Amino acid sequence: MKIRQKIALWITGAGVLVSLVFSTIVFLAMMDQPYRLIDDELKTASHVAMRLALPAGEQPEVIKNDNPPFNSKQYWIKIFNDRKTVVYQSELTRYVDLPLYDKHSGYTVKRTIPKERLKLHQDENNEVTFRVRRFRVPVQGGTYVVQIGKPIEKLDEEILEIIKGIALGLITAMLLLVFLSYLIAGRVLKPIGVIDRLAREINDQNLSVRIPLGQNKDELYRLAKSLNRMFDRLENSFETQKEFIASASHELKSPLALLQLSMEDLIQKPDLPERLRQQLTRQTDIVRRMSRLVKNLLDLSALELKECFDLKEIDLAEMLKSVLSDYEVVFNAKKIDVREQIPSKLIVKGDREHLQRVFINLIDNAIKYNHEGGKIEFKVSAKNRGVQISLFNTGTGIPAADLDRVFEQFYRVEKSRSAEYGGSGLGLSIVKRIIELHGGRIDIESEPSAGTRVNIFIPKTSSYPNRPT
Amino acid sequence: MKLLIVDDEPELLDQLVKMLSGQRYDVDTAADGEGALDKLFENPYDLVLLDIMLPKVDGLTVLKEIRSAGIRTPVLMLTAKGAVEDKVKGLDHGADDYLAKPFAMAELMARIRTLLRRSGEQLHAVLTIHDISLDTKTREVRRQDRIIELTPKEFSILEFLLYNKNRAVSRFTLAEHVWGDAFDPFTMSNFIDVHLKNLRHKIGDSAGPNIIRTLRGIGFIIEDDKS
Repeated sequence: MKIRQKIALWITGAGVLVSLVFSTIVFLAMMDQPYRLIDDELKTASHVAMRLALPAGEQPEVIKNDNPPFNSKQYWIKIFNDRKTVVYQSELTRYVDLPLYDKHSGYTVKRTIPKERLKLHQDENNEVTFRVRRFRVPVQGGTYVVQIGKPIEKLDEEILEIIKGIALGLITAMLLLVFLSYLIAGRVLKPIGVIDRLAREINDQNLSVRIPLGQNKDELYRLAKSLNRMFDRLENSFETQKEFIASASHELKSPLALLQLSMEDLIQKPDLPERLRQQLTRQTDIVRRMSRLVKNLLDLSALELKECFDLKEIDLAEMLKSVLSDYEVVFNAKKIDVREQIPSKLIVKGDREHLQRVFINLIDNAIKYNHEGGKIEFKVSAKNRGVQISLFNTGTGIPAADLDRVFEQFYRVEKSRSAEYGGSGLGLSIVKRIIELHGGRIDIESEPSAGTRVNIFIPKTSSYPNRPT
Repeated sequence: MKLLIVDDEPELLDQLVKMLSGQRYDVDTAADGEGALDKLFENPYDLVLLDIMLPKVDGLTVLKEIRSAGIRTPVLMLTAKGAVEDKVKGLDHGADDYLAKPFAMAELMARIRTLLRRSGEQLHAVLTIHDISLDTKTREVRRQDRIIELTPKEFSILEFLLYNKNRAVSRFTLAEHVWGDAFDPFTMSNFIDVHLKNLRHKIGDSAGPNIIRTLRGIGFIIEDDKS
């Protein structure tokens, strides 16, 4: 899940939680409201009832002398005197009896009254809900107790309406929250996107470029700064490695050069016994083998750093034909049947010397591991977006288990092959690296004792950026 | 012929001096860029062997300075770095050729002689042995007056052996020279004989005086006429 979605989700979650708490409080308050209204009404009604029911001399003092509209039929009223004798009861008391609780506030009682007897706000089970209150009213010489009740409409329905309203509000708020928080998350993350884009533009070709720092020393400023520090270290290690290759080249090659020259000098001495001369020649070959290994190793390191790469428009077809003609004498000597399908012209963007090296290395392998009288097939075809090359050779082939590893440095299918065939064990690693640097692909398929096929794809225009010069 | 060798490895310098003096060149040396510049501005040389990595002033700077001062002495760059970029840079700065260390003496000799011939003296453009002549400029090979048609590789082998007259050249060095160092000389040296066989046949060596001699286990040699 993207961070933007996560942030939106968190904000929405928090918003929904807050609104839920708020709505619950509002809901509870609203639940109370209708009862309080009825309770107030009952209080007023009880006063009026007292005034109507009691003789003038016994009127309680608290009751004012106004006369609000009052219909005693609407109420269930019982007035008791000190001796718990009922001194007044309204008409409703004949239909139903309500319990008297010693409660200060109102309470709710449900009673069943058939609709045929009296029409009140019964529900389908003929149940009527009464709101009941009880008042103690002190008068001269005693206290009266008024118990007053009123059948009320189904408050459940009203409450359901309230819940519906709140739920609708909540859902609307939530949708709005999702929308807004997604917008906000986008705004918050925008600078990160900018940093990401800038960081991506910094590659091994322009490692000295840094992300510009903003004015505010906020979190993003710190992030950009950390990234810049990382680039510093990266640039440093790149430089160190370059220097290493340069000095390793120098340190390794200079003594090899000296060794080779002194041995060659010795070989030319006229008074040297012939056997010694031959031995020295063999040893010189070993020194040169070592020199080539060092050269390949350093070339590979340089390629890892994408050093020494020079992309130009080149004619691949012409290059391949020239390489093949260089090998003609070898093909003839080993009686290898070469079949080629190469178009007359194939322009790609590439590094001439390195691509030539790719084909030389591959053909070299195709010859080395081929048997006398074997076959080599070279097929090159222009594809929509590049060039497809397939090189097949008969020969011992490579066991399936080794196929994945042939591109590894110093990997050999059979250790014994190195002595027999020579080579540094770096050829295919170099090939792979060069193809990769051209933005291409290489894979190898093989069947033991049948042959090996190498497939290469080189795009017409390399995605690899050219070195700024 | 006066050569200047510039290299900061004293032992390598000694070895080169010893070998080139043996080939009757007049050899002078410098161990760093400053020394090289001093000598180049003082004396006329026929050729400079210039290392790229040098203390004080590096090889490329030396090259730039002498070229901007109008000194046109041929320069053969020597370098331990094999990077193509260096090669291109060297040639851009006015070097005439480029050789990566370590190199074979035969290859160095061939390069030196090519450069010396190129820089003027027409007289020396033709290499001869016995009654065979090879013109390095027109790439024409004659035996007496008869023109011999050689393939580019055969020509390259004969030219290389002639440049290294009286020196044994190993198959390996020959293969590296003929095919270039992108090819694996270990593979190619096994096939040099095919070219040699054809070459010998064309120059009439197989029946005649044995101009190109095979040294078993060593390589090939063209020697001066002793008769």
